Order: sequence, then C-alpha cells, then structure tokens
Amino acid sequence: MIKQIVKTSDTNSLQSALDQMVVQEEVKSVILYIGENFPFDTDALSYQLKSLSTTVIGGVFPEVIIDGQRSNDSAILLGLPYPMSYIVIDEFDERNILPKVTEGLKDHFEENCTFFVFIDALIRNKTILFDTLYNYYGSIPNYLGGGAGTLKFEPTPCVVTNEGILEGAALVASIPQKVTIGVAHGWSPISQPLKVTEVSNNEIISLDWKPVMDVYPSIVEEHSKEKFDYEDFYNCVKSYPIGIKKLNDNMTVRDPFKTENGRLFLLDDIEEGSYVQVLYGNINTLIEAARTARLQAEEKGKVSDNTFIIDCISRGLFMEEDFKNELKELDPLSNSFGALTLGEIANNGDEYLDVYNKTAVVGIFE
Amino acid sequence: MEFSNNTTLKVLSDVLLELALSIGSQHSTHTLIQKSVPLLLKRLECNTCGLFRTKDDYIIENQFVVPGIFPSTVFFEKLKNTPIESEFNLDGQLCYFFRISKEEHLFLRRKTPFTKIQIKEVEPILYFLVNTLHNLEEKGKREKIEVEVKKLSLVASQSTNGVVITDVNGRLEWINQGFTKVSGWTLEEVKGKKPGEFLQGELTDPNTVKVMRESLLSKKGFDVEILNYNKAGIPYWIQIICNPLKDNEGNITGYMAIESDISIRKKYEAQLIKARNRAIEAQKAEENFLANMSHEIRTPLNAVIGMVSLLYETNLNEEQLDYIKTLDHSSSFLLGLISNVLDIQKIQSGNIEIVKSNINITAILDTILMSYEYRVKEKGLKVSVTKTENFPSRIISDKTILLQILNNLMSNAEKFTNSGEIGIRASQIHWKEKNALQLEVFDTGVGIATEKQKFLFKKFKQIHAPELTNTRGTGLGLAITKELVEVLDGEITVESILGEGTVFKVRVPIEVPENTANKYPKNDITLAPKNIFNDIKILVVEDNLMNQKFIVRLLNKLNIDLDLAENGTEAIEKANQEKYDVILMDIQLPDTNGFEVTKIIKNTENLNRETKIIALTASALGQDILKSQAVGMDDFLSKPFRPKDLLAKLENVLV
Repeated sequence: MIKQIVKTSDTNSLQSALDQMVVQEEVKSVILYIGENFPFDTDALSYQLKSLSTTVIGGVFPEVIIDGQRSNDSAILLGLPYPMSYIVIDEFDERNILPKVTEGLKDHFEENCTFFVFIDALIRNKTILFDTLYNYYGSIPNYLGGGAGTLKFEPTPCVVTNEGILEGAALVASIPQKVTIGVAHGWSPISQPLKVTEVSNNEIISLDWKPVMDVYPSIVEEHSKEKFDYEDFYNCVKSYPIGIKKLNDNMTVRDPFKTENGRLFLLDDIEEGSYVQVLYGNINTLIEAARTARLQAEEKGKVSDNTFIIDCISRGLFMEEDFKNELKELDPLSNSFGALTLGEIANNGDEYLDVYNKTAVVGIFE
Repeated sequence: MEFSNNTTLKVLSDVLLELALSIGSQHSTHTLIQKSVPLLLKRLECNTCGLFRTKDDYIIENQFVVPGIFPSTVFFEKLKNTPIESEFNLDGQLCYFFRISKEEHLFLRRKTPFTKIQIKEVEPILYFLVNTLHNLEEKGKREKIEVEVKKLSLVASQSTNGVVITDVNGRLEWINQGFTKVSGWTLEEVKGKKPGEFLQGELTDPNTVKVMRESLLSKKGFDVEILNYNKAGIPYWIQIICNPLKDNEGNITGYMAIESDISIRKKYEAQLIKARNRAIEAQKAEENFLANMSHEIRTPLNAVIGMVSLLYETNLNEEQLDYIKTLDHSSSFLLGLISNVLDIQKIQSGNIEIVKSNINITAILDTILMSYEYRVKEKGLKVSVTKTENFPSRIISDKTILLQILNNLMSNAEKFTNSGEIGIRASQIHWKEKNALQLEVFDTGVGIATEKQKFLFKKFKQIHAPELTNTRGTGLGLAITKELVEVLDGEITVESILGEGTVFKVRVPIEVPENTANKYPKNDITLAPKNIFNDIKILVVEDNLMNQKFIVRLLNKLNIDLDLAENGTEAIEKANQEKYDVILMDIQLPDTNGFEVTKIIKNTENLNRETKIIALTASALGQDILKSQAVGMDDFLSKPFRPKDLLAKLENVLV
C-alpha cells in the first residue's frame, strides 16, 4: 500500500499526486480523503477522476488522519494493490438501488471481501441503502465507511467517485481483501429508556409522548447540574448523545447537533417506536473504548500493520487535545490512514448493518 | 446506572409488538420476506434468518433466507451437516432452530445468546411469521386462480357464443349474453329449467337428443349439432360442446356447454351437398356417355381394323394395297385417339386400378424390342434395349401400366425420330429409400427446345415444331404417361437437346421377388407355337355381325374349330351341350350380359365350368376389368383388337 499526503493549498498538487499514484504498477485502486479546509477545484478534480481508468473512491470529511496525525486542510491518498468494483447511488429508492447492488458489486464479491461505503451525511433515509445491501449480501463482507461532508452541514459535493465528486450520493466499493473491524463508543446510559413516540427522519419530536425538548434538557441538566444552554447548544450536549437501545443492552449512538422548533436534530435517522436513553461519556471512557475497538479488530485474526480509522468528528471536537490519546489507542504504530466522519459505518458480520455516531472504528487489513 | 428488568422486558414486548404488526400487515410473501424479516433481524439483533425444510433433524433445503446470500457457503455446508438442535455454537456464532412443524425449522443466527425469557417471548412471533408466510402463499395461489377465473368469466360473458352452466341434473344455473342473443331467453326466464324443455322443437333430431341425454346419464361430455328453436319459435342450428365441471375431488358438480350458431354454415353445407350431388350426377353421365361412346365407336372400329388385317392376307394390287395402308393408318390413329381420351378419363375419375403381380420384366422389354424393330424397319432406325448386370428378370408391379408407359414413350420416340436409334436402358436403382425400376427411353430424334420442355406433360399440348409437320396426335400421350407413372408413385423427367435427341427417365418403385428367376418362363408374351391351337374348339359369343365375321375369319385362318352364339341364352345352351377349350365372351349382349352368362357357366352344372373365358368388350373402363375378374373370367381383351392380340390372349389361357 502506498500512502501520500498533500498538504499544500495548490490544487494542482493533488491532481499531480493522483496522477503519480495511479501510474504506479502495484496500485490497482485508490482511496482519496480530502479535509474540509483543503482547497481544491471540484470541477477540475471531477474531470480528472472521470478520465482515470483506475478506480478512485473516498470523500470530503471534516478531518483526515494519516500516520497518527489529524488535519482538516490536507488531502491523503492510499494506493491499494486490490482491484475494486463500485456502484454509485444517486436515487435513494429500492427500485434503483437493488439492481445496482446485485449486479455492480459481484465482480469482486467473495467470501472474504470488504465493502467500503461512503455516503453524503446529509442524505436522509440512508437505511434504504444499508437494508438493501445487507438483505442481499448479508454478513459475508465486512463493511467500513462513513458519512461525508463538512461541519457546516450544508449541501456540497463530497463523495469521491470516478463519476466525479458528487453531492447527495453514496458509493459502495468492493475489494477482494478482508479488513477486520473493531467498533466501540464508550458512552453509558444515564436515563431510563424512553420511547421515541414521534419522529421525522433524524428529528425527534417527542419522547414518551412529551415534547423532546421538555425531556432531553432536563435529563442533561439533572446529570450535569448545570442549566441547559440553548445558546451554546453543541458544547452543552456534546457529552450527552442519544443511544438507541437494542435488545441486549447494546446501544447505537446518535449525535444531537442542533435544536429547532422544539425538535432535536440528530446526525442520522432514528426510527419511531424505538427506545432511547440519554448517554454520557468522559474522556477516559471514550479512550478506553478506542482501545477496545483496536483489540476487537486485532482479535479477529492475523492482521497487518495497515490500520484504517473511521472516527467521529464529534469525538474529536469533544476530546479536543486529548483526541491524540484516542488516536494512539486506535493506531499505536502511527501508520494509520483514515478520516473523522459525520457518522460511521462498520459491520463485521455480527449484526445488522447500520450507521453509528460518536463511535470509533478500527479496520486492519489482514 | 442500573435499569430494571421491567424496562428491558418492556423494550422486548414493544419489539415483539412491532414485529407482530409488521408481519400482520404484509399482503404478500415478497413483502413479508423483504420487510418483516429484515426488521426481525434488526430488532432481535440477529444476522441471519431462514426457514428450512428438514427431515430427520437435518436440513434438506431452504424456503427463504435473509440475507439473500447465506452467511457463507462454507457455513451453510457445515450447518447442513450438523444435526438440528435448538441452540448450538458454530464458527463463533450462535445458531437457534425453532421447530415449526415436523418438517420445518426456523433458523436464527446471532453473535450473543438469547436469554431464556427472550426465546420464550420470541417463539410465538416466529410461528406467527411462518404461519403468515404459508397463509400468504395460499392466498397468492388463490389470487392467481381468482384472476384466471375472472379472466375466464369475462371471456365467457363477453363471448358471442352461447355459454351455459347447469347443475349436475342439467338444470340451468347461468347463461351468458351470447346465449340470450341467439335464443332470445334471459337467465330469469330459464333458470332452473332443462335446456331441452324450451329449445327443442318438431324438427329437432330425436337421435341427437338421445345422444345428449345418454352422454349426460353416463356423466360424459358431448359434441353435437342440433336444430334448436328460439323464443320466437324460429329454428336455428347450433353446435354444442358440453363438458362436465368437476371439483377438486373429481366429483361432477355440473356441466358447461358452449353453443355456436352454425345456421349459416348449415345453409352453405346444404348448398354444397346439392352442388356435389349435381356434380356426381354430371360426372356419372359423362362416364356413361364415354363408356357408351367408347363401345359404340370401338365395336365398328374393331371390325374395320380386323377386316383391314385380313385384307392384307388377300391378293391385292398396288393401288389396293395403297388404299388399305391408308385405311389401316387412319383406323389405327382413330383407335389411338379414342384410347387416349378414355385413358385420361379413367385416370381423372380415379377408375384406374393398380393390379400388382409378379411380372417378367425382361420378357416385356424383349417384346417391346421385337415390336419396334418391326415398326421402324421402313425408317431404317436401330432399336436397342439394354439392361444393367444386376437387372432382375422379375419384378412385382402393374404389368399393364408399365407396358402402356413404355409403349407411349417408345411410340413417341419413334414418331419424332427419322434417323439413328431409339431404345430403352433399364436398370434397378435405390430411389427414395426403395427398390426402383429406372427406364430411360431415348431417341436421336428432333429433340425439344428447353423452353418448350415445361409444356411436355400438359394435356392437349402438342409441341409445335415446323420439322414435325408429318406428325399428328391428341397431345395427350405424355400427359397420360406422366399420370400413369404417378399412379405407380414414380416420377418422369426429360432431358433433351434440340437436334440431338431426347431421353425420358422413368423411375417407379418396385418389389423384387426372391429366387424366382427359374420359376417362370423367360418370355410370357411370346406367341405360342401354332400347334397349341390344334384340336381345340372355341365358343365365340358375339352379337355384332361384323365382329363375328372378323373373329370367325381369324380363327378359321388358324384352323381353329368354333361355335358361334349370338346372345347370352344361346351361349348358355351351347355351354350345356358341348365342352369348349376357350369361350370368347362379349359383354354387351342383347339379352343376358356377358358377366351374367359367365356367372351361370362358372357356377352351375355344365360341361364348361372349368373352361377359360376371355372377355371381349368395347368398354375400356377399369371397373369392367375388375368385374370380369370378379365373375370368374380368366382374361380380358379390349376391342378393337388386332389378330396378334387375340392370339396372345388365347396362348395365355391355353398354356
């Protein structure tokens, strides 16, 4: 695998680096992550991507990670020695997705393969894609990826494909190589389970038939012993994500990022009827979770030193300077390649495919 | 923070309720598997769910699996080889089998174990899922059937044909608009009645009604045509196709009949029958006319030709000889013309009969050779007959037809050849997977232009050629030959070069008898030595004076003793009084015809029951030959005939 970082603000340097990467004989496909503050010419890069015969996948993310360092103004490239097949989804209905899923990925589908999934974080109803993928391929492949976009939460071209850099789209690519995965979050419940009684995609309207903003702030206030600060909403809630309760007390974490009209906006969708709990975590529990994720990945079998990290940008924002310790736990050898994303996608065959928030994911190539 | 078990159970019961609602709200197996099963996987934190057909605690096949691609083929093979238990660990995954029935198990796979309470609570939902699946499968089948039934109902109700459904006793339950339109009766008016009660009338055929009734009594369908009467009493013809309706157990629940109005067809049929009868009558009249004409012309012509033959034997001066030759030529031409017209008539009316027998083909060819050697002597032509090495001496085929074919072709060759050679090349070949006789009749005559060859076998088409001004004919010879070849299932082709000559190639399938080469004399047509006519006596039964004179003169010349009978009664009397060696029997006699006379002679006590009888008749129709054989005649000679023809027949019956 060949890694390359492009730090300069000269857009041409990214295009040159990409050109140089794809001509290398051992490079059969390329993963490209672009930090949200890395200036680049979308049209020019899209044009170049369309002209390449080598598959290039990736996204624009709030930050990128390379060799144990994080950056929001760099672009990083990873040349893989594996061929890829990929599909681009730009219409999110089952009739459009199913034929692409069944036909477009089969070339490199085998018992030990990995699906990379990158999706515009602002797309609602992402589960249509995840359900279709999982209902067809199930747990044979491992899944790894994340939500693309910027912290401005504004629509922007952010999914890197050979069809250009796309907005409102998703990409699924398969490689004939197993990546073992570890997933952990480190958040613990601090409230009783609450039924999500009204919801609109990623907006919770009511919990236990009470307006959500009557319920959630009071739980946070009670735990933090501080008045809920609507003005500084993000800092107020960054330690208190929502956990979707599962049958065996597992939690799928959802990250609240704003409130409007009495609704609580989460980074990803939540289903009406599900049970949620307000979670809390601190630096130590989160770093401990990062270690757990690493161990989980290593436990799966023989692994290489090539570490792939998908971590949540909100963990980075929450942990600030301490995030370097999380990175160290995730990537003790500091040779990682990854991104801080807006939602994490990971599945190692143990459970149904879903998108997580505020979660650390480690993938290691076997 | 610790939470109570009650909360966990509440989550579980909510999950189960959600699953139950999802399962219960599905309307097809497809949505059940595509929506509810994935939801079940999500909510129960499982990664695989499948319904397996099982036998003796092993998986036989899956009915559905979600995800569509099973965890892995390796895993599935392991699973198939593992006896089913309610719970076991395989490859780090927990496998649960829920027994739905003796032959069905629902499979769930997950990473972490279910608690006992969870299993107990989940089981009813799983049974509900499988039951719903089976119900939806049944529903799907029923819906398919209903759709078909709806389509059929639509077809039945919209059909212009009448459709009626009765109960098992034949009482009407339903009719369509087509039936009302044809019969004038509505369902309200006829429901519960038997169709026969109001549809049949005085001209309805009781035999057809009987067929229908008996079919219904024996619980069978029927297909009849019957005259019915509509509400206004106007008759109309219908075809009824009626079939029993059966339930799933095969019991008859009623009958369905489709009725088509065939009144117009019946009208046309009646017209057609009338026209056909008229045509048959006309054809019969034509046949009778031809037969009578044939008889009436042949009888005097026989005398003319006979007398001309006898005149040759008298002392004639040159002038007389010239007149006689002209007379001979003209009478022979007239005979050929009549024979051709009759042959065509015979073939077209299907009266030509194939009489296959074991024949000496070598002798036939030799006879033709001899005959034509004599005929073409004056022209100075060479005549040849060649046979291939393997050529059989005897074959099974129709001798008369073969002879006629060869005579027609040779006569044609002779007619159009003024110098060089004519002849026959004969061989046995394998043709159309059968043994066949191939006869190539060739000449070095005028030849036929390529563009005219296509008209060769057309009736009444004589090729116009300026160089043939001295040839005449009806234009029927080759058409007859082609028809005759086809009667024997053969084919005739022609190859010709203008100015160089022509080859007609005839191929007819034959059978070759085994080891018969020495059983028969080599030549069965060769004229018998004259001494076989010594000490024989012939009874000549002939009413026509001219023919009497000809036959008597001919037999006298051969020193054959004879008696003459002028009618049937006299013939029977003479047959009772004296034993004859041969009887020559005319057919058309003034009192009892020749067939009847023969029957009496052959079937009553008299001196001539074993005497050979040769039919002599001017009728050339095939049925007369058959009839002569049927009454016991030994041979048949068609008038007019030449002396040598009569001698050949006599030799045939005397040897």
